[in-house]
Amino acid sequence: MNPDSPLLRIRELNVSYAMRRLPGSSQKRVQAVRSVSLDLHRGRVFGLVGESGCGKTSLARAIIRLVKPDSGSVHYRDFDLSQADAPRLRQARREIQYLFQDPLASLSPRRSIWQALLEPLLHYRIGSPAGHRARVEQVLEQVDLSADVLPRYPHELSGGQRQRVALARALLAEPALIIADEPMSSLDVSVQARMLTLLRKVQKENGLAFLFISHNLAVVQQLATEVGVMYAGELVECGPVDVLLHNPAHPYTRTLLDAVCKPGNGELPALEAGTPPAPLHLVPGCPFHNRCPHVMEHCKITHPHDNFLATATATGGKHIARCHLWNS
Amino acid sequence: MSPTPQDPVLAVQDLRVTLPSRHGRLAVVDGVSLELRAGEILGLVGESGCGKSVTGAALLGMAPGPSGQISSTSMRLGDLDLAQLDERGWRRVRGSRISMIFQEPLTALDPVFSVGNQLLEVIRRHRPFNRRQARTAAADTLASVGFADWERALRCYPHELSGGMRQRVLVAMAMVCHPQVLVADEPTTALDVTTQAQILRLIRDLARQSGTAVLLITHDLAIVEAICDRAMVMYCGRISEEGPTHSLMHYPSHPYTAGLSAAMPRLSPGRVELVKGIPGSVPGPEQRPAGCSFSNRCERADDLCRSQVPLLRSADPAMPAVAHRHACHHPLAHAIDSATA
Repeated sequence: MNPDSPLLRIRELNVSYAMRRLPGSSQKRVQAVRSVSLDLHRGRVFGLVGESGCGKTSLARAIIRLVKPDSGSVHYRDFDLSQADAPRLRQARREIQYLFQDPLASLSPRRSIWQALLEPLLHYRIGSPAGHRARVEQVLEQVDLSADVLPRYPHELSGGQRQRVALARALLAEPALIIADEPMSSLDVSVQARMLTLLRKVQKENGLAFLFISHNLAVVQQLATEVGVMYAGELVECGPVDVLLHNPAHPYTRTLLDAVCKPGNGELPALEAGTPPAPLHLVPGCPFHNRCPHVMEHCKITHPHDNFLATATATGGKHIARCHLWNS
Repeated sequence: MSPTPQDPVLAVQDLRVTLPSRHGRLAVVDGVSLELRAGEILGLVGESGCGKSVTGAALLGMAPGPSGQISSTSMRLGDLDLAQLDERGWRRVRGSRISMIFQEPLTALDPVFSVGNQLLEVIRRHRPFNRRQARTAAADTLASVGFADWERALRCYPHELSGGMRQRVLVAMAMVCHPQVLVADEPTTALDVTTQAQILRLIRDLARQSGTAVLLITHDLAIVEAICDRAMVMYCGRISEEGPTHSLMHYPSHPYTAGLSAAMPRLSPGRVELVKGIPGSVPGPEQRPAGCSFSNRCERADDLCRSQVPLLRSADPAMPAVAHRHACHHPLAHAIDSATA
């Protein structure tokens, strides 16, 4: 397999959820992810940002098939996860580890940290039983925890420690890709900063790829090499982090950047009102057209397609915007 | 004597909130003094568990649980002595002269009553209005928080509104009686960035127009920098540093303030400034070190810090009138340079 080919290749992925059907009405579906394509590369961090309800988590869950996509493909290494047989799916799920927002909810309250950390080694039959203790301690050290935590239970640890246990458990499965879904948002600033430093270190040391999901652009900038912006289920723009933050092409990315309270200026961002469209009542044309300052007539009618932009980038990454402004 | 603009609307001296524990009563808020002036926005910053929300609730006479106790040497709202109020007296003050906005609008609103119903309840309770007058007041307030179609908004139930709209309703309920003081406890934490900016702007504009003094409780220094005139940093129930926002953010003299600032990721076009964490974590109320409560996490700590609680004092001894004060035995030096410069 070509080493330059992406580790994970997502093409035209659609995810929808069935609404509860009321008697006498037809089945309604909520489109959570709409035709998303993106590539994740080995050893790189892709930051996925967007407001709540934009489909970030649905996309992440569809990758590891926690929800079944309606259509589209997810290729991991050289096989299609939707067609994969059980052993291959199992292998992919070992190599793609998921870090959840709330570590307390993802650790069993009745199992000690030692039991929780032993689980991936036993489940995936990694190493010999004699070496398990040494391996667990080695990974604990990597996440700045001492072996003292092993006999303890999740409720005895602080939020930051729990999130590090969750990270250690993910690392024990020897992943190639970690999907981290808002891993910082339940942590305090001072703890969050240490977690960010730790994630960066672990990512570099292990040569991991990350899909890092966050609503906070400033946090994403700390880690990511590329950034994708989602709005109403669509990936409206993606590109290298410096390009996206300096030269955003999509008006929504600009809105998002303007909304962040920036250091030093002591001023509130100016913002026009408006909220994302409800997923059940999607507007025709571009989903952002009712809030967009650059809206044109055909934005209201025609759905925009992905435009590849020739923005000069230091890293040479692709810069894509799903916006009519960039139609050639 | 009529109040001058310089007189504080709310002045609290040595506020303490205690909870019972195995080792006697535990102070979750330990000697906080604050003053709020009309139209001013004061930020109260700190990490979870530092006592900032308990402080905010205590300003409305609300103790944490039935066994919590609030005490202070003085607590005045204009000419009213809050320390003397009984529960009946507090009920007249809450929602009319001091009001509060909570973090999670969906839990603060009752799901079975319409927005109009809940808003009118506040007016009816505190104002001698008839039905028509109350409705007009409700409509005016809803319009002022950005509901163009207030008729429809009055009929809506909380679940029919988006998170931002719900928070606007809470702002409307808090402001409808034109309170002198508004306590906003993490008002935008549950909201998206674009909505957050709208709500912050709304709170600031209302404070400026109506002269309401705002205590804004937040963990986010970026919010403090964007809308607060002054700020207080709280750690383990005490104020560790306070001052005008600019001075506090640019010349922090307490190592904890500096640490918080270095830990906060800031969106900067260009080179990324990598964040730095503070070692250790906030100690629980029963594990606080003697002396300075930050001493077990502080690089500058020595025996003095571990034995004596530092008192809040002016960051510049030569200029005691300077509003920038810190509680640290070994403050960072540049604060003094900046005050004299």
